[in-house]
Amino acid sequence: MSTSLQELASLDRVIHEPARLMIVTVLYAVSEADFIYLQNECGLTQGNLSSHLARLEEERYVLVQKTFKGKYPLTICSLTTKGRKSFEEYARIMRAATQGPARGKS
Amino acid sequence: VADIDFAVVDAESRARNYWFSDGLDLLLLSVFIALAGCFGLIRPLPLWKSLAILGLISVAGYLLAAKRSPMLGWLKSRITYPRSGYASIELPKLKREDWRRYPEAFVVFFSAAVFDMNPAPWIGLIALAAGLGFLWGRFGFSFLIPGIAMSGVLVAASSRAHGSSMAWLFIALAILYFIKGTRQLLRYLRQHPAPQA
Repeated sequence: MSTSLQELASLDRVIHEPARLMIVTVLYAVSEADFIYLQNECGLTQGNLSSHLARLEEERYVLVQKTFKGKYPLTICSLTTKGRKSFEEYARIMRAATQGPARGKS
Repeated sequence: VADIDFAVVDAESRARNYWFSDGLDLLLLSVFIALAGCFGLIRPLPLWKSLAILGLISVAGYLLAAKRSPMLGWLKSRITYPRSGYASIELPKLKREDWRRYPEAFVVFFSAAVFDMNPAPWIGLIALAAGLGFLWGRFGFSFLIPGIAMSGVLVAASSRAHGSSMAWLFIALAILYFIKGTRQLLRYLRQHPAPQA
């Protein structure tokens, strides 16, 4: 078994869950986003998004802040440094597994 | 999952497009350009007065149309964020582009002011070149370029050319931006109805 394949076993299971992977990908691309934007981008229900954000917050991957833009209340979410590094590591492992030497030669 | 990099790039590009999807920046920019056009219609002024007015227009431009302007933020917090949410697009690439655009905008309006006071064809051509650069950098409105180029050359070549020709060109541009911005805003409002209280 190749090393890159074995590395798949060490994938971060918090990020690996599809809904959470979507959330983390969006937050990785923007510096911060609010609840409605994440809901629209990921196509999740309010309850679903809340529970996944809570899980990510629990792992300290995501920082959730309640604030205001003018009079409009915002729940702003952003990736923490730990979350950013974990996502980068996750992406590296997936890249290595899917673009291994056999595919790289083509 | 091999396309994880593509997913990140796609999310970045969606966030960038999202910022401009409501057309508010275009509407505010049209007000800014119309202000500059109106300045051109004022008969020749002493240099210090022209520069003072130009300074005021530049401040108005920042307050109205810049990406991080307080006015744009205020409008978005009432129209866009409650409907479709908020996402920050503080990407280094966009920041660099922004810094490149401000001097271009300044050159356009400064050239227009000078043209208004001293109508020489070559100054009109400088204003035209700067204006094209600004438009290209700001929006990539390639369909406007031939029309503006032709108008600019006519203004510059005409022996009777004076500041008001350039001012009308600015006002025409402002109307185009206004129409495009309004259409974009209406489309956005249709796609994102106001949330239920």
